[in-house]
Amino acid sequence: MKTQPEVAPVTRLIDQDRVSAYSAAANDPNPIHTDTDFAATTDFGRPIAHGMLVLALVSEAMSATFGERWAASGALKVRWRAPAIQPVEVTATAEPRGFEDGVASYAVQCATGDGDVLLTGTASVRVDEA
Amino acid sequence: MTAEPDFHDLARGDEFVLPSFSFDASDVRAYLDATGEPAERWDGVVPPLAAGALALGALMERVPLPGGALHAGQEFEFLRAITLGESLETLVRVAQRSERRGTLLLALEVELRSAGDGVTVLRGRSTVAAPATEATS
Repeated sequence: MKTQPEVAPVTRLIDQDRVSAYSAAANDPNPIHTDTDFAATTDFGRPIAHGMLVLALVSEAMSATFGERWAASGALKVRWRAPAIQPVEVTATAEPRGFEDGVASYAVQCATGDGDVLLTGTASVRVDEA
Repeated sequence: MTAEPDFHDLARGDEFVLPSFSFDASDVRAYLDATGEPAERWDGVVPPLAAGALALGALMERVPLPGGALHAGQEFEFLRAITLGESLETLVRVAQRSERRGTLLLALEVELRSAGDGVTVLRGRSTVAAPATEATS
């Protein structure tokens, strides 16, 4: 592979049903995601999505391009910048940032349709033998 | 550390091992249904972020997070594909602890190892922020 692959964006609606399903699937009981009364006592005032659920869109974008290579040699480093207050449509993007020694690097981001940035960071994956 | 740790009492350098576990098809299906990722691309292999998320879930089972805890940052290295049914061990280490303006920040390093050959298959580092109201140090 001589050129850095493009990674297609992933857009998904994150609503309370999805967040509740994720709480069960990931065994994450934090009430800030599912308990309206509890969330009302927090700075956000309403339940927020799991950061890992937002990050899952980045991983999905990478796996759609790289398949099992992503599972065998991927890396992520992200910070969450703002909470995803559901329901919200989120788009994950990965912009090429370099291709060296067989490792493709990307600047990754998740943002809402209104342009609010929820997450930024980097992703990389080995796509060739060094 | 062998006793059940409390989040607010964790100190830098604390280490503990979680019980061995494996991912089965229903774990992966529930994760993919929740996230919306198509399942077809994962045939017998655990999606790597599912492995990370479920390992963090196992950690939270051992060390419940305070209700207002927030995930501030995350790093993962996926070192080898994990297959369904593969027995895994989880080592957790408290890499960093700091407290500022009523907020406790912990960096937790998680390592998943194959129970069969001891090979590390995933490394993660989670930064978690929580109210320090129950802090003891």
